[in-house]
Amino acid sequence: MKTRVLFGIDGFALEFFWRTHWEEESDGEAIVDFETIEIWGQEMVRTPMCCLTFQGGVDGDFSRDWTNEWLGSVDLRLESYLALPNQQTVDYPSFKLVIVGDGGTGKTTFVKRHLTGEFEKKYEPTIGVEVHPLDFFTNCGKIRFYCWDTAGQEKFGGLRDGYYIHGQCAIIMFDVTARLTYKNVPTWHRDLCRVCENIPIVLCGNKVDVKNRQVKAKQVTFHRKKNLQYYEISAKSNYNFEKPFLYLARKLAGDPNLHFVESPALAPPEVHIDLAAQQLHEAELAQAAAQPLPDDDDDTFE
Amino acid sequence: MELQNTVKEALNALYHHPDDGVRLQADRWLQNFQRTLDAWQVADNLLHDASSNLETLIFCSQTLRSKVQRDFEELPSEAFRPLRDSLNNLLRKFHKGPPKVRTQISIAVAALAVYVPAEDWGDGGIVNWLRDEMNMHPEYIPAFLELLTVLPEEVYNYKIAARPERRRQFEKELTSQIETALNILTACLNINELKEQVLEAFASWLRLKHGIPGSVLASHPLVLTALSSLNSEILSEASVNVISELIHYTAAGSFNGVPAHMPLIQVIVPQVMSLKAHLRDSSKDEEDVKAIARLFADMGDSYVELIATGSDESMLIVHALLEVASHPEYDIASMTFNFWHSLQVNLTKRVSFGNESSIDAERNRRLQVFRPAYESLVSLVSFRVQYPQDYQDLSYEDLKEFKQTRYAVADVLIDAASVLGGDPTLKILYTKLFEAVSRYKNDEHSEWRPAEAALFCIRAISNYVSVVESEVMPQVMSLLPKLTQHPQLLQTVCLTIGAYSKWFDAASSGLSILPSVIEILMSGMGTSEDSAAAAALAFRHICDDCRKKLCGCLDGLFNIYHTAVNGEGSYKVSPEDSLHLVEALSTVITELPPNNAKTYLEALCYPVVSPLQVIFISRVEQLIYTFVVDETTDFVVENQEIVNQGPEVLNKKPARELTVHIDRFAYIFRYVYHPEAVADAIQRIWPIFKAIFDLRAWDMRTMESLCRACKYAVRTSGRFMGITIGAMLEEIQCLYQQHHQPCFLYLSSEVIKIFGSDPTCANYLKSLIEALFIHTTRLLTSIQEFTARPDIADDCFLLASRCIRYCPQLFIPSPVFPSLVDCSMIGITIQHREASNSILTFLSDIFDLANSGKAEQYLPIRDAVIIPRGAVITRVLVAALTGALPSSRLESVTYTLLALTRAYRAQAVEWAKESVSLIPLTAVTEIERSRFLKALSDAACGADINSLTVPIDELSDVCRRNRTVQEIVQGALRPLELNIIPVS
Repeated sequence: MKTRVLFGIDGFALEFFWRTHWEEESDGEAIVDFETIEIWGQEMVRTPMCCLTFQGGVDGDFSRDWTNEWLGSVDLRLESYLALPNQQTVDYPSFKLVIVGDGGTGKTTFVKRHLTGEFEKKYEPTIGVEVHPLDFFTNCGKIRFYCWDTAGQEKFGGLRDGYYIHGQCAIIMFDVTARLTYKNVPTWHRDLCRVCENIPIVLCGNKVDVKNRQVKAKQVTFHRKKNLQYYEISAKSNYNFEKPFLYLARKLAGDPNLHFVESPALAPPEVHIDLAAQQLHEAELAQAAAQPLPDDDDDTFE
Repeated sequence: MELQNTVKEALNALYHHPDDGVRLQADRWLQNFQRTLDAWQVADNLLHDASSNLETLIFCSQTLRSKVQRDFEELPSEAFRPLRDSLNNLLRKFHKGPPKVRTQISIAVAALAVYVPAEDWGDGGIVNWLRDEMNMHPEYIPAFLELLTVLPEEVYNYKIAARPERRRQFEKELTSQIETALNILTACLNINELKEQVLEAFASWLRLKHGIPGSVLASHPLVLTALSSLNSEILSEASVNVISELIHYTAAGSFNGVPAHMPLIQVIVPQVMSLKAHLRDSSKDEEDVKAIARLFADMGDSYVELIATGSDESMLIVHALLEVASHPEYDIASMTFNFWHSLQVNLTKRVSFGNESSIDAERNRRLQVFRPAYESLVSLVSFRVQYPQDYQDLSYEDLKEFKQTRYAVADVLIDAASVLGGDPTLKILYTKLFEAVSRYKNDEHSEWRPAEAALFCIRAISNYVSVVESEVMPQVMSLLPKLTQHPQLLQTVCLTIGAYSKWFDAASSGLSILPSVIEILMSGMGTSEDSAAAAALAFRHICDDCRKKLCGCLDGLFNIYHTAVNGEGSYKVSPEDSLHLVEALSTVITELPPNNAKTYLEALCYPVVSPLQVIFISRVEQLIYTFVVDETTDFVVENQEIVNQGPEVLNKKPARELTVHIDRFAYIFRYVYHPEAVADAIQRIWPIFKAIFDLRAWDMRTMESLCRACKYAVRTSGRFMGITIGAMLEEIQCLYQQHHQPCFLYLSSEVIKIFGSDPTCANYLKSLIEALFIHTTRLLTSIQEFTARPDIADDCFLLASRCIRYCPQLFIPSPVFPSLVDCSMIGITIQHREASNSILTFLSDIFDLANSGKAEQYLPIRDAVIIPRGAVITRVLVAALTGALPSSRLESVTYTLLALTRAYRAQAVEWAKESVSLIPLTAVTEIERSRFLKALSDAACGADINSLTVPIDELSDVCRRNRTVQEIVQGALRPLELNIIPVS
């Protein structure tokens, strides 16, 4: 008789895996145990880690290729779980979030909108990666995203996917005023998924405050893929800043009703999206949205 | 060994050290490490080292992969075989995982195959080699399956520094092996645990698109497996991806209107259709529902032409899409919106060939077939525009999202109106409005939201409703006065009035209902900020479209205008929205005879000018007596205070307090089309404008606003502006020296456009542009200066292009022309998108001078300037193509090079030859060089730009393939920074 503990991102998947693969062959029983957190006042599932404890004679089956292959990924989870506390200096749940996307799409501007207490450090644009701890207050307590901002990674710079290890969620940023940055989204997504399997990802179309849009909301269809959500944001005006984090928090907690109870402190907006003006402008453009893209226009001159 | 330990330590620091500084150091060290030659061996050793932890393994596998992708060239050619063997060993070693390490090794092997031709690879190329390895070592199958998955993906991976020629070759190699690959995958299907992985690999091969015959696929076991797994208990992501790829795959290519892959389509569609029931199954996981909706949307988008035929099968798909459109989740429902639009386009497009009458008949038949679908669609989507019960609690962002939803639905309604016709769509929507209104009492507690929603929809289709519609429209309009109690409803009522302004103009009853309509708008202006914005916009539309009818009631309109513009009284019109009223009155005044117009223009200017007078009274005291029409006493009292404040206070005033008024002038000058009257007005106002110029020249926002107003005055009054324009240009010419505001350049540009060809202005304009350009060339003396002031660079070269077009006789012979060419050469490689474009356009305008006809006489002067500089210009352009500018800028650089080549033919080719010969052969081969030069020679002989694009793209790719190469190329083409002393 041996007791083993498996860690996985999804308790249901673990249980399912047990049922379909081991239940009949073992003489023990499995208990899916969502690790819970007490700090939050109430019992909360500690995600993305939950564990499956099982007893019984299943050891022999580990030699099968597919089992070990699966265990390989489980071990990785386990290891990342063990590795994370080194970075965790807070006593509430935290997640590593990777922000990727073409240079100039506004990743740094976005992540710097959030002013956590310890955030007033100086910024050096030459850095390959910067880690920003961003705290949010949910109805279940505080959570922290360690945002790995890979800003400035031009074609030959930085460690690229070297930063993705242990990533638990991600934001892929593109710039709605530059078509090419949207075209490159599939590449960022693929590179990300090759290192971080099955993590929740938010696709963000940034700079919606800029008049000269090249990628219309309707043309964005990449997020039809699994585990992807799309938001239009404007980092400069703080527009929709919280939405990506809320989506990720819900997915990571496995709780679709999780909500933020308090707005984070944000840097003052640099531009305002004027609702009334924007609305009229949009109303007049509503029809144009369905049309093919216009060429860049220059109305200061013509 | 020591290096290996350092790598481990650095990794540990990067991933876990709490101190930013330490992490930063580790990051830099690792970046440098990855660029070294040592990295090959160190990464390989650590991957074989049993003591390496998972982080080290992943990082080293990534490092090895990056080395193969980017730096393969730095290895001697005999290193290929040991490298291949080592990677193969690693692939076997990690065949059981960790999967991420195995993935990276697989990508490295694939990258190696991109470089190495099949004959050098041996064993019949990589796919055959893979098949043999799998046969010999079935235990390693999971690893080789992964390699088989990434192989087709790497064809389009531009991180691999392979040459374009080799990349094409590799694609051919793979497509010729598709059958082998599919056979391997089919064989792997026997291993049940591998099914997901096999399907993923299959999806990846489908993305190659070429080479798989559709008839083979229709009965292929892989397709059948994917289709059958669609219906398994858990919807497998891999099978959804395969089906999605298959749908895209089958959409390509058709023969006589029948898709080439019809048999396969007929296999796919029924299987996907069988998922329809799950859409309504509330127990389904949200991701599963999303996946099903995605497949339906993919079918709709891909098969739209086929669906447009209206066959029975296609109607089944349409009904499924209607079901998706009715899904309560907006994210799900909206996936179909693109389909409704493209189907509409398909149904309504006019084909211009063939027998007209039979085409029309077919078109009408199709439109009839789809009527019921679009009628249901109208009902299915229109409920989404209704304000939610708790709309008052919505955050600003959620409210905005709701409004975005409304616009998206409005677009769908427009698609429906295009198919059904505006008037029939209006009828459907009117029924909803009528129902909602009959339940609505015009009081505060009544339920207004359904009526608002129906009205919003009616407003959305306004452009599709006939202006002479006389059945429903009068009824809609007669309902409006009853719907004014709730601010949101009133807002939509106002927007509806504005949207149907053309109908009011055409309606026989128009004149009699306009007063009541304007009354509604007045109440809109007084109710809330949002309703005021809507009313102001509607007022503009009504005045614009019904201006002939409204000429007679100007006094009433002026009352509204005064109340709104003064910001006093009860109106809640924001300063920005008040511009709609300015425009509205301006368009009505345009309809008046000149004499009348002049009087009313003064009245229009009066409330705009007086606040400015108040502000600047100390400078322009005398004006108050000449301009003021009445109410003088009020001002004198206020003025005294301002006079005492003096210019220091004026300097501190926020720009907005001035631009609010100046922007109104811009609108007046733009929309009152009475050149003489406007010239007269600007002349009278000029002392105030001058005062603003003098006191606020440092303030960019005020200057931009003022220059815009001046621009429209110039544009409307043209030659009537006489004296004022002289004073204005003198002012900006002088102020530019000190404050170099870019807007002074764009105002000058407008002047050049209008007066450039007028001989009487020649001397004046010549000194203007010389002064502006000389000063600019003194500012922009290095690329750093360009980068620091991209807006000046942008406007300066736009102005220069205008000069070439409108007054080459002044510009080209001027001594400032060569200085400006020198200046442009410094700035070619500026990263700023707009500035870079303006500079490149300026240069190509010079090169294209011969095409402009009237400027031919200046060709000798131009040549004398360009030819001595030709070699340098070419070298900088080649540098821009090969890496100094981002590749997204290639198109404009290519055009400039083409224009240069067309202008100087053999000589230009010679310059290009000199430039590319500077690039070492290690970076660009002789063949690649000559392909580029051949394309240029062809262009010199008149070949079009398309023949140049591909060779230039390839040269660009080759030179940017990795960092080392790019550094070599850019180093060889230097100096790009030309430091030229400007002429004084």
